[in-house]
Amino acid sequence: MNLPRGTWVVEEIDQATVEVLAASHVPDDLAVELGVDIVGDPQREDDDGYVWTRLRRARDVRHVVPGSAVIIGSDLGRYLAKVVAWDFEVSNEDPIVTLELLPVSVEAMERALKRAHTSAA
Amino acid sequence: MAAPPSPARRKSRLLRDGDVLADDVIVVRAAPVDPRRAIRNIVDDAHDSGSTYVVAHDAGLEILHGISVFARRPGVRTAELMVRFRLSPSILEASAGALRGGGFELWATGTNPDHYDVQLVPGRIEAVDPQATVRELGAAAAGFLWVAGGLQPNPGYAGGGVEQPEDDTP
Repeated sequence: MNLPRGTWVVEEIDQATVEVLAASHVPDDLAVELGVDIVGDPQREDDDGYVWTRLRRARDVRHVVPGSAVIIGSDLGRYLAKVVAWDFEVSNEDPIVTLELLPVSVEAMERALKRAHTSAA
Repeated sequence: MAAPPSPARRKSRLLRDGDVLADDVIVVRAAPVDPRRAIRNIVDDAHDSGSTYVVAHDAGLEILHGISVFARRPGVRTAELMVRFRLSPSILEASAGALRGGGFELWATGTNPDHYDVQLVPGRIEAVDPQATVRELGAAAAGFLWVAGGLQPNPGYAGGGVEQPEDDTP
């Protein structure tokens, strides 16, 4: 599955742009309610089969930059995902966030991290 | 790189030419545990879609108030189709014919051959008509639930998301 390299799709974003977007961002109510990084429905596919949502659905945009591991959530549950890209075609301030679901549950990841911390102690 | 300038418009959704579901094909959508949340989820998705995508056809660029569904092909069990959505306790399913009879359109969208969008509020042309309101989407979502016959248990539900046997070690 190859991401189209359109003019608007970026897989790396500079920190200054992130901070500009973060300064005007209001945390999404549902993201806060669900305790997730960004609201996203895991069954909503874009043209390339990736999951998509919009940046305004984030709790904190700094946590959902391309390359980040995030927890996406909706009333369908919480899923672990990797942020693939931001797509500015539709908006400068509210790009499409492209995500790839990871084949492991949030709970499994939490247990693994807990074991790692326990082992390190 | 810095954010490039944007024309602030919707994206044109990829339509698979000639892909029209037969009336008897069942489409399935993962859903939350209760109807209230199911409607919220549908409205949420359709609203985001309507602010993001259009579909191009003879009448112009139609705003896509779409929600994703997946076609259940012959020989494929619903549990197999829903394996990626095993944290969703419920499903909604209906035949393509029943959805069309209920006033919904089905668009073959994206490269996944099983993925379709149900157009909840058809006929809104970009730059001519307004995007559907949350109230309109809520009414359409309720209609979708009615056509689907309500929520059914997801046969692939993992029950709370603990579905990784290799992680059961204390």
